[in-house]
Amino acid sequence: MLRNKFLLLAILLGLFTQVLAQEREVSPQRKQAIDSLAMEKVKDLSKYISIIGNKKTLYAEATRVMDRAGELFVPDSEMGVSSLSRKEVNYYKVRKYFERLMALNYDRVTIEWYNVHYISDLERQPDGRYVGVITIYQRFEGTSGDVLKYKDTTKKDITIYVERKKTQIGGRIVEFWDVLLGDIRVTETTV
Amino acid sequence: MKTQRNIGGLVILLVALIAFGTSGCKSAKKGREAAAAKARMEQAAAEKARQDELARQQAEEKRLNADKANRELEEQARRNAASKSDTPTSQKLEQYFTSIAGSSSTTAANSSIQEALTMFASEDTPVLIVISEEGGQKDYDKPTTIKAYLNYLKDQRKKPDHISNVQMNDAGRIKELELLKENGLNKP
Repeated sequence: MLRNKFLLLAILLGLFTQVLAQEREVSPQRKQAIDSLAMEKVKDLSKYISIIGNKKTLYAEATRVMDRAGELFVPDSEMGVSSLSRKEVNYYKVRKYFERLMALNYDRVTIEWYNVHYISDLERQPDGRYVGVITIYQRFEGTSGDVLKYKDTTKKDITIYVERKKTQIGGRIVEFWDVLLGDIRVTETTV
Repeated sequence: MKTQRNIGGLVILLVALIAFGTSGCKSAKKGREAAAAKARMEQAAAEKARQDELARQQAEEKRLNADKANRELEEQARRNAASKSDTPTSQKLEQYFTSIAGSSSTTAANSSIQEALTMFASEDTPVLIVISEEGGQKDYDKPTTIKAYLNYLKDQRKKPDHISNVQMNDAGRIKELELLKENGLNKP
């Protein structure tokens, strides 16, 4: 009798484990969509940074965009800032970085991100989150009058966190993928 | 004579003992057989119970799957009906999206945003963006609001997502919007 109880328990445990495993699995198609979503968030940030840095952007608009750009990040994330004139890299909280960017002492600032690609694919962690790293190249140009005062190209690594979350919309539960950016580390600075 | 009687008594006693002993063995054997039969019956009953439980679970799973499939069909039918009845709304909204994303100036984009917002129950109307759909299961981006989405189009100046479902309230305003990303068409 006891043996049968154990047998039944083992079967139920097996079924439960199978259900859990199915929940954890994400098909290649879905994974691809998540990869693309994370990549899109990085490209969105690129656009926000160029808007914030653009001297023609109105203050109210720049502030709104800073808010939106800040929402892309895990709280307290930092952005690395390098310069050809110094060896060390300074790190600022993203909001502070945006404010410094907006206040740069040039007449015209152009910031462009290119060659955006994964260097570390999104991988599922034991806590259920997916973590990956996207690398970008940033071309920065600061002009005063007609004179190009400073320019550099920086390679930066962005940590990406993707987490499955739930929220209530219109009285029903909606599950979604929350993509957040972490620290942005400078790995290379060249002319 | 007396000895003969004693021997006779002993023989009777011996026969009685043998008879009793045999009967005792038989009864013990019967007891063991009964216990074994009982164990077999219990095992069979437990096995049957397990089989019944598995069959019940399978039937329940089948019923749940059928319910889910029915709900999906109903939902799809409802959405199809909603999409058909809301075609002019969707078209108008799509025009606003395109106009905002392609605006020549922030002022022009803001003006289009204000106009577009009049179509909605509020500027906080939820917008769900489907990034992938597979086997009836949808994966969404983080839900946003219509005001935030319209500003997003203004900032990013990118091609708007496809309008896949529009839900209206009694006042004829949009109370929920579902969009589909271009790469969200991962249907089997």
